[in-house]
Amino acid sequence: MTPELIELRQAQVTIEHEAVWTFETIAARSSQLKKLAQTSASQHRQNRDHLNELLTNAAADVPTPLPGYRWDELNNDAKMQAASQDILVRLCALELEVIARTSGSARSASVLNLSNMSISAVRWGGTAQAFPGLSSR
Amino acid sequence: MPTRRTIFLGLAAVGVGGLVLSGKSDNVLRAIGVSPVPEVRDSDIALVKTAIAESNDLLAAAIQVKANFAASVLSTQIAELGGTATRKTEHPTITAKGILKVACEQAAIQRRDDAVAAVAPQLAQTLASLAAGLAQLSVTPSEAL
Repeated sequence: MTPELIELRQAQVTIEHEAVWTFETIAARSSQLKKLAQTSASQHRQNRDHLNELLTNAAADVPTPLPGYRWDELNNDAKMQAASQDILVRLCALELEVIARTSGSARSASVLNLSNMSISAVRWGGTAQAFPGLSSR
Repeated sequence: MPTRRTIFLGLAAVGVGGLVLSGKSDNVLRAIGVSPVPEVRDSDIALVKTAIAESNDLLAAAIQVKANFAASVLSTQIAELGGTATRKTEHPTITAKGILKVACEQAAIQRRDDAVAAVAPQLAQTLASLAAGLAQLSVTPSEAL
């Protein structure tokens, strides 16, 4: 991995830690969103573990989770949905940067992950966009 | 001074399709005096043309089944890719919103493969994002489509 790609992967891990914490917290707090949150938490635990492995294999530092995140904002379903969408938007933007810097199987995995996270954003109440993660001219 | 690579990666990714089609994706590099600049690959041009054609096919279907939101998203995709939205309002096989959603899912799979095959990094981003948008349409509830 190039130093540039390592930095991107580290940024992804940092947000994946937040994602896992957020989805697990939502699963514990909302009966309405519990099933969706559990599914999302599982998906992002896998993403985090995969990224950790990539960084470890590259002998790079692996970011650790923070002691806590914005737990006080997750006090109703609407705010939980908004927080989830915000995390997914940030992860999609990073994934697009990875896509531009990879090829072959690594790019293929990132492209698929981008689609999965974009689908997840819709399941969390977002609307479909023409180009998720990209801005118009 | 930024390298050619960082310049390319710094460009706005949406709209790249049109630049690829016109063969002018190197205009920014030329403008700041960087030389030589890479030629647009024929294979990349073919990917953009295919994406436009298939999105136009989906657009005709969306109009036919009165999926107004999907039609709007697809029209934006086509325009940003540098294409012109179809005037067709009928589709021979996609006759219901449920079928349209399946067709969007299939198109998303194809665009993902195209993103992996793209030579220009920006086009890879654009096609990956296009695929993600189509995937989102495939899971949008029919009543909101």
